[in-house]
Parts: sequence; structure tokens; C-alpha cells
Amino acid sequence: MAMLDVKDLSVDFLVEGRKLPAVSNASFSVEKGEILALVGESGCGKSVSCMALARLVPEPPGVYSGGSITFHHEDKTYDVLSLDKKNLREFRRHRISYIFQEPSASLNPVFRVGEQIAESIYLRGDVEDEATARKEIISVLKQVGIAEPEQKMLCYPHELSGGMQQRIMIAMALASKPDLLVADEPTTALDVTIQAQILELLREIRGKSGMSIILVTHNLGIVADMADNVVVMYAGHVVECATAKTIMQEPLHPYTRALISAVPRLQHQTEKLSTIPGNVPSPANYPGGCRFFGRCQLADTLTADKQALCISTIPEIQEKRKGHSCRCHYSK
Amino acid sequence: MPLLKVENLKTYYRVRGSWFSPAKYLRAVDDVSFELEAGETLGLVGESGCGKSTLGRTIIKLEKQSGGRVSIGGKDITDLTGTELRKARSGFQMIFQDPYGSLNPRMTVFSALDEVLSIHSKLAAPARAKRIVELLEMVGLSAEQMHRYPHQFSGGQRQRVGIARALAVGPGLIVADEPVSALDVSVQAQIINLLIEIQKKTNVAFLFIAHDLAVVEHISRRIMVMYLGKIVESGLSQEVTGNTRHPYTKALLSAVPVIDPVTRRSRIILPGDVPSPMNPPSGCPFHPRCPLAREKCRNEAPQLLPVKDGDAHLSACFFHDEVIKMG
Ligand SMILES: Nc1ncnc2c1ncn2[C@@H]1O[C@H](COP(=O)(O)OP(=O)(O)O)[C@@H](O)[C@H]1O
Ligand SMILES: Nc1ncnc2c1ncn2[C@@H]1O[C@H](COP(=O)(O)OP(=O)(O)O)[C@@H](O)[C@H]1O
Ligand code: SF4
Ligand code: SF4
Ligand SMILES: [Mg+2]
Ligand SMILES: [Mg+2]
Repeated sequence: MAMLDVKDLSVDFLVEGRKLPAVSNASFSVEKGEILALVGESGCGKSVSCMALARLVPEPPGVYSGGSITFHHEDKTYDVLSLDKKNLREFRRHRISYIFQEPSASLNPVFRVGEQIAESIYLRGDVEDEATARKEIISVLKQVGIAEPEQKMLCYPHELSGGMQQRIMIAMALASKPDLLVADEPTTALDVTIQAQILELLREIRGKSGMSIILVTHNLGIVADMADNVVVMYAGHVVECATAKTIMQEPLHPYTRALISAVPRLQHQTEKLSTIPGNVPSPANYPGGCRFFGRCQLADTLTADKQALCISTIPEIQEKRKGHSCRCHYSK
Repeated sequence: MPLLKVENLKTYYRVRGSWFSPAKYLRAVDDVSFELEAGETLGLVGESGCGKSTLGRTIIKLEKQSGGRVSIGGKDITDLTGTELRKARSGFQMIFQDPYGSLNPRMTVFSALDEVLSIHSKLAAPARAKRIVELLEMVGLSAEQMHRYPHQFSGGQRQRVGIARALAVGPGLIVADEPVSALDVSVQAQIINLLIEIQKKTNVAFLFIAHDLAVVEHISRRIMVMYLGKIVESGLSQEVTGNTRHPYTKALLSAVPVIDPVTRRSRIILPGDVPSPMNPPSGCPFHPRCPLAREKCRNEAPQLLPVKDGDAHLSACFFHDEVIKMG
């Protein structure tokens, strides 16, 4: 039984009287201690899927229009989409934490960073006195690699560099001791050097505490480096799932293949990078059949009557090999 | 004769002191010299705050230099002002990471390009319209898209508009400041291919600024690595990435997450952030973060010198022959 089980999740947005599908029939799961990467171009539904895990998509305009999110902790089961207020609060406090690309999304500019970390600690409910909290703040700051924690905890966010703010945000997330850490593009805005520090830190945390991590990224190098398993999303659909190694070495879906070959590689000088023509369609313009049709190189090689199936019918996601599923009518 | 010649260029920003301490100078670009040939791409990498944008902006005179000289096409542009500067501007253009910020939201693509052409060329209206269609075609946009506003384009398409605008006046040099950093890989690849194609057609030279070394290596014939306002290594791309001679370059390379497990290197994690250029460290500016640093590095500043006599591969490290052993 996986720790987190997402089944056929659909999230729509009601915009100007239209129902726009941001995530459609997405299924994936996360085991305890696993790092799962969520990849895909921008607008494919990665963030909405993540926010949905703690029912954080604003309603309205968001609507959870189908599927289930089940979370197991010891002998307790949370059916996230139907939790009452009290249990939802408990779930958000104890089971799941988020870090985002922009530290400003989580850090409050008017409080010292130490106070903000203390808040996460107190919310847990197992620490009440200041001395214990202070000890824990210092230890968590050390854990995220901040030198002179006694001094730094007294700083306001703007007094710290971007990389340092990112660490504070991670420290806050860790202080709440979640079972699952959702990191939504945590390093996209950072230099490669700082990115390497943060990724190393996440790997270490997973190793030490056995926390599970969902890592959203559009950088396939990071996926290869960090992830155990990968979910590839395109236009609101999960189009492929497998271990990171399989995804990198034997991708099945034409979208995954195209993404991988568009990455420039060090010391691999080729004249021309392969590209994916066009752009991700917006939910208002999703085609009726396979949403990748029009950009798909495999479809371009098919005869017109085979293409007709791509155009008319959304392919089901199918397990093509053990532990490797793919949403395409024609991939092997 | 090189297209662009930069000699001992310095850009210092005056930073106000508090009322009991005098104003100080931040050395954003500190004694940089290099050349760029027509039709060539020179990559410029380094962490944020190293001075890449300031160097690019100073070269094309969007920022005032504090010292040194810049010539383009043999003409010294360092002290140009007024009409003369305006005339010279058609020779060099810039494209930005966020084309949105540099495009007027209330102007259609057609009017934006038409404006540039009427300032910098003597073309009459019909000829300008024809040129605009040509430019859009060159960057992969269709003529029917020219009456749209910037917000009606995707990020990649907006970057194409930015490129079209830079190309409008037929410049010999384009400074491209992180033009693909904000784009998805798929779109990034489209734009990189486009830049390479345009260079083949027009022989334009690029100073290509980016922080992704794999991208820079792909597009550039030569690479310069910048740290705290100074060039610390430069040379042919394959030399800089394959026969690295500065520990900073080595660290940047090892930090790039790579897809192929075969080429996965051992990672050198640099401690800390780039120090403030207000108070650069003594000796070699990289010494507080350098895994190879020793006493000499704290006291003496290394010069940017050929790795071997007469070599075009330059390094500013006393111990550059030890870099190869760094893993
Ligand atoms: N609050 C919202 N209102 C309307 N549409 C939204 C909202 N948030 C996200 N969307 C849409 O949902 C889709 C998926 O977005 P997102 O999950 O943010 O993509 P990703 O994280 O993969 O870039 C996009 O088309 C986006 O425009
Ligand atoms: N207008 C300015 N006034 C004062 N300092 C500046 C200004 N612009 C840039 N700087 C400083 O100059 C240094 C180099 O900045 P920049 O050229 O933007 O670096 P990069 O492009 O490599 O990130 C940084 O320390 C930055 O804070
Ligand atoms: S179903 Fe058709 S269009 Fe969709 S990915 Fe497969 S081949 Fe391409
Ligand atoms: S001179 Fe010394 S501190 Fe500077 S890069 Fe070389 S080894 Fe490192
Ligand atoms: Mg997102
Ligand atoms: Mg910059």
C-alpha cells in the first residue's frame, strides 16, 4: 500500500462560464522515502496536481471534478478530497509541506525568519516552551546548511540572499516534520551552484529522515540525478510513468522522447537541437483526441487512417511493461 | 580586424555610504578585455551578480564605463554621444531574458518594428512593411501575427519578436542576455536553433550570456567565464569544458545536472554565495570558495594569462594545471 495514492484525479477551472480542464484523470503514487519527479512543460498541470494533494487549489474557480487522493499514515487513512475542516487542518499541518520556486510565496516579510520557523514547530503541537523551540530552530537551520544560525534566525527575509531564503523556506517545511515534502520547482530561479547545494540537501534529508519528496521540475538533468520514479505530464494528462532510469534510457511516449532530445548536453556538440514544434495548447483549446496530436513526431509518420484514431480518441494510460505505463495509441 | 574589441573595460557603480562613511564603489566590471569576430558567438557564463549583464550593457552603451575602451567594426565608440551615438546604435543591439519587459504592451508587433525601422533606416513605408514581413519570417512568425500585441504571444513567440526587433536594423553585433533562461527546454531548443540559423544567414556576432553551461557550449565557439567582475577563464568552448583550467569553471560544470549517467561527474559543491563586489576578497577573489586555495591565493591576485605560451586558452589561476585532477 503506497503512502500517497492519487487515482483518476481531475481538476477544472470555471472561467467565464467555461469549464477548463487543468488536470484530467491523473493517477500516480508515492511510497515512503521515495523521490517522485513530476515533469512537463509549463502549463501542463504540475502545480495544480501538487496543490490538489492538500486541497489547496482555490475553489472557486477550481473544482475537484473527479477521482481520489488517499494518504496513509501508520494506521490512519486520509481521504483528502472528503476530509472535514478539522481533519484537513490536521492533515496539512502534519503530513505534507510545500516549498516553492519563490521563497516570497512562503516567507512573511515582516517577521524574523526564526519566528516563522517557530510557527511551524508550534503548529505541530508537540512543543510548547520557547527554549525547546529555539533549540530546534537552530538545529534545523544547521541542517539546511546555514552558518551562524543564532544570528541568522534574527534576520528578516530581505536581509538574506535568494539561496539563503530558499534554505529558510526548506527549514520551515522541515520543521513541521511532514511525511511528504512537495517541492515545486525549488531551484528554477537559482544559479546552478546554489541549485546543486539545495538538491544535495534534499537528497540528504530523504536519506536521513525517510521523508518522501515530490519534486516538480522541467529540468531532466535534475530528474536523472534525483528521482526514483517519474511522472511525465502533458496538457493535464499523465502521459508516462516509470522509474527514472527507464524514462531516461527507454522512454516510450513520443512527448517524453522529444523532451529528452531537446536538452543540450555538455560535450555532445551536435549541429542542431531537436525541438518540439509549436506550444502546449491551453486548456480552452485542448484537441478532442490525443492532446499531443499536432506536435507529435510519431503521429507524423502514421498513415491518415491511423492518425484518425489519434484525432478522435483520447488514448487510455496503459501499463506497457511492468511498472511502465504510457498514454499513446501507437507507442510500443 | 575583430568586429568587437574591448580593452580594460571597467564599470563601477557608486554606492552611497551612510552619513559617517564616504561613498564606495562597486566594481561590477573590473578590467575586462576581449575580442569578438564577425559571425562568431562568444558565450559568457557565471553566477548571478558576477557582472555579465553590466558587461553586456556597457559594451552597447546602455551603461557608462568607468574606464577602458570599446570599438566596434574598427570604430571607437567609447566616447560617442548624441546623434553620433544614435547613428552607431544600428550596429549593435540587445535581446533580453524577458522580452515582455522590453516590448511596449500597447504597440502591435508591426508598429514596434516599424518604429525601429523609421528611426534607424531611410526606408519608405511600403519598403518598411516588406522588411517587417521578411523579419517575421526569419524568426518563424507568420505575417498574420504582426497585428497582435505582446500579451497575445507565448513566451517563446515573444522572444522571437524580441529577436526580430534586434535584427531589424541589420546589426553586426547582438548582445543576448539570458535569452533562453526563462523558456521550457522544448522552446529553448527552438530559439537556440533559430539564433544559429540567423547567424548563418546574416553573419551577425553574438555575445551570448547564460548561466546554463550546456546551452552556452552548444551555441558558442568560445566561452568566457566571469567571477566578481573579472574574466577568470576563456578559450574555445571544447577547451574550456573539456580541458578546464580554472576551479570556478570546474565547479560550474560539475553543478550542471546531466541526463546521461555515463558523463555524470563527481560534484564539487561550492560553499556559500558569490561575495559582494563591494568588498571583494583579498588576493584571488575566488579563494574563500576555492577547493584548491592556499596561502599564496590569499595574498596575491592571479592575472588572466595563457595556459601555455602563446595559447588562446586563458586562465586566472596560479594552479591551473591542478584543475584537471579535481575529479
Ligand atoms: N487559478 C487558476 N485559474 C484558472 N486557470 C488556472 C489557475 N491556476 C492554474 N490554471 C491553469 O491550469 C493549467 C495548469 O497549470 P499549472 O498546474 O500551474 O501548470 P504547470 O505547473 O505544469 O506549469 C494551466 O493551463 C493554467 O493556466
Ligand atoms: N544600477 C546598479 N547600481 C548599483 N549596483 C548595480 C547596478 N546594476 C548592477 N549592480 C551590481 O553589479 C553587480 C553585477 O550585476 P549584474 O551585471 O546584473 O550581474 P549578472 O548579470 O552577472 O547577474 C551586482 O553586484 C549588482 O548588484
Ligand atoms: S496517440 Fe497519436 S498523437 Fe498521441 S502520442 Fe500517440 S501517436 Fe502521438
Ligand atoms: S588562484 Fe588559488 S584561489 Fe584562485 S582559483 Fe587558483 S587555486 Fe583557487
Ligand atoms: Mg508550475
Ligand atoms: Mg544578468
